[in-house]
Amino acid sequence: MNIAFTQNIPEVFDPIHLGLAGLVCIMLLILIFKKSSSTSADTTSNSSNNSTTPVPQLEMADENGALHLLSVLQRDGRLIDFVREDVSQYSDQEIGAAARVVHKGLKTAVESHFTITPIQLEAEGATIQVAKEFDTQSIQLVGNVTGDGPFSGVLVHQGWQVTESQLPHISNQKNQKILAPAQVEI
Amino acid sequence: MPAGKKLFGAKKATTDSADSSTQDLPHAERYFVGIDLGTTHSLMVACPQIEDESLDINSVELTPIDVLQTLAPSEVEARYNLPSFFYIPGVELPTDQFELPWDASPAHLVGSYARDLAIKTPGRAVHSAKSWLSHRGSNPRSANLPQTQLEDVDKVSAFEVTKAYLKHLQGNWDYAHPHAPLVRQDVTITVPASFDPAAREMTAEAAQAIGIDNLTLLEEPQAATYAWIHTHAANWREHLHKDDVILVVDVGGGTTDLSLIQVEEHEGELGLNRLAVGEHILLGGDNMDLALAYSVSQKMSADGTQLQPWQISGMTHSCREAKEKLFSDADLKQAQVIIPGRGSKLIGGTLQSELSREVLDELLLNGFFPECNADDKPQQSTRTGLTQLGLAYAQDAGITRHIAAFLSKHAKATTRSSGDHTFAQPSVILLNGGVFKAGRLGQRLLDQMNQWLTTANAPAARLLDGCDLDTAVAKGATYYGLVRSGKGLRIRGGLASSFYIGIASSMPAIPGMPQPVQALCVAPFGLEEGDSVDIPEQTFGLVVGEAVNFQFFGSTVRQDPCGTLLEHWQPDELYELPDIQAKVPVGALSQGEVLPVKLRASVTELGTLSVQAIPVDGGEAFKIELDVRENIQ
Repeated sequence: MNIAFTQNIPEVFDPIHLGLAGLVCIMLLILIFKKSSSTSADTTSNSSNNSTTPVPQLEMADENGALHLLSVLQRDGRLIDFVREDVSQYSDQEIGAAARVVHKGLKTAVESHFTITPIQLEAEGATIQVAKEFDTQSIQLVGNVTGDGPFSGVLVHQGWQVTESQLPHISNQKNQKILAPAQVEI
Repeated sequence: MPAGKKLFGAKKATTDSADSSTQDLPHAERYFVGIDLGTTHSLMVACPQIEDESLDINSVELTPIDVLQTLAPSEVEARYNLPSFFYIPGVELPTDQFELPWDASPAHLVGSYARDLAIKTPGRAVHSAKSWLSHRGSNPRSANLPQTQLEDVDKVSAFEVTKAYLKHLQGNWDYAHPHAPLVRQDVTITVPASFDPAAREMTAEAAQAIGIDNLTLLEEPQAATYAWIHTHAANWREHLHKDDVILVVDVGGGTTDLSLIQVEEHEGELGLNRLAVGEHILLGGDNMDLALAYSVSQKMSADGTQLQPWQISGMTHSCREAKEKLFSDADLKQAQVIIPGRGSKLIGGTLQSELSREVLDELLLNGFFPECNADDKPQQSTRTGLTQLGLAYAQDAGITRHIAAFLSKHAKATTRSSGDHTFAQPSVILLNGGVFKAGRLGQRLLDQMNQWLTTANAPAARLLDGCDLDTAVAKGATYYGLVRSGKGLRIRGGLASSFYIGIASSMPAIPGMPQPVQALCVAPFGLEEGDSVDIPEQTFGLVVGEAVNFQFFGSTVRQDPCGTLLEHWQPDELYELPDIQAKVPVGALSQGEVLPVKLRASVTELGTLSVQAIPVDGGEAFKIELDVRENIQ
């Protein structure tokens, strides 16, 4: 926030600019009091509204979505049971049998909610070209990275992306913190 | 007004007129909808109605409609099908935990979660309602399901359950198409070819009860054939030729349905004619997976591990996967079967075993598709003493033997086998149902067929392939909507049986002998939708205000003209159906008067049989009820 401000303040203080700066400060104060609950990231974006690119904001990940995903992974793939169990007392064969249950279930859970495709279709290990203007979220360059590109390198991991999501309707009555109910047979 | 309309249509009733015709909807909002109302799960497919003469119907896309349903308490998600399970909730499942986007307080639970609960709490769940619709000894309107219910469970009827599935599909459709409600669409629902007239009518009534009026019924093997034609739009004429006889083998989750369809040529154009349909065989893919599960569990108990009933269901799933794995990889000797424990100790509670190829071959190939002769019949064990009323599951699991019996019975049905052939000789086999994803089973069926044909010096048959085994029936039903609108090839069919009523003969009664019954043909085989026939010779006297029951028979082999009176018939030629009932209401005539009537049979536009009594001296015709099954408790 401070950096953004120092960049915008002119070096020579003439009365007009001084007045403008005062106006900006007053508006900023009004904004802060009006939206007392907003985060500092919010006010940053409001104060520098003359720039066209959106300023990144850090938001807390949605808890309900995360909890729901956990409950689905437990229901279909017994994930919580698996990670909460002490694996040291079992043989690899026993763990392997359970891992098949988990694998099958997680596969169902993931595939029924998301369509996932590789980002790079080339075989891993192949040498591929990365254009000058590449999406740094889709492609991560590691190792000896210098200059502006284009780059040439070995594909280590093909990457995954979600191309389609199919999410459930969840009643607002649902206590999302219950990942799996205790089961009682009568 | 049906209850379904109130629930889902209440919002729309203010804006839409009550007219259920599709005429006033813009083209973009008119659809052909096909519903495969299955024994184990239901599917819906739709395609928009396009008003364009040059439209090639084979290029039309048939889109499966995902069904929103409760997957877990308070959680609704779309799945490609709706499991045909119905759960009657008690205190353990408050209504607000299974509300749907279109219904805040459903009375019952249907679909995926109902299926999960059916395994855990069977006393509150209903399954296989479809088989109860066609049950010969039970009235589908009487509330008798679940059969062994818990104390506080109010039983429901198979009819109500069927209605509930349709209502769910309707709610799901209307939610996605708020401006094109289902009651305004052209809907085709599939029924087994072996369904008797009463079961067909029950299905139609369930749909009408939720407001679907633009309704047509279609036999499932025919639907599978339509789906095949659609899939091979460009070149189906290269696969099928004049005089080809198609045997459709549709093995669903719970039933096996057979039909013979012949390719004919009229004025240079190929046409299809449905020649014969099989009997209702309660035998399907689920029986196969269960057989595998029991076999593996026996092996485990021999090794000292006793399985609990709940573990059998987990075992069934696991066996189905092992089966598919073994059938898809010929080199595998065995596949693992894993049953996770119920408790939170996953690794400690997991049981494992194997399904070996020998067991799989023995049970499925030799058990369900055994080698047999073309003149073999399914083995019937005579039932002794009192049998509990339940579903009449096929006593012989040998599907090949059922097929052999079917082909023998219809030896004379095809023009190909007009000689002295002892069985109808198909040239083409069309398989349908998820069971045949295991390609080995279809191959076995083909090998068996060709062995019969070779023995009879007939040319070998071939398999038609290229259909999606899970969705073909629903897609074919949707396609049939297009066909009915005048675009594309229609399978000629009509009634799959001839129907007869029993008339007491005028012979003097002999003590100790039941009075002989003659059978009067009232509806001939092949009578088509919209057609009707009168029986002018026979007049019946009906007593006003009193219900009169007639014995009712069907025959899939005799093709007598209407009005034929049979004195004798072979025991396997006619099968007895539930009685039909005529009741003249007290109105213009007073109680006890005798009203002379004649009978008229017709096949309605939607595909159900209707028998009417027409007063000889004029007056209004009235309907004869086809379904008066008493409920045997």
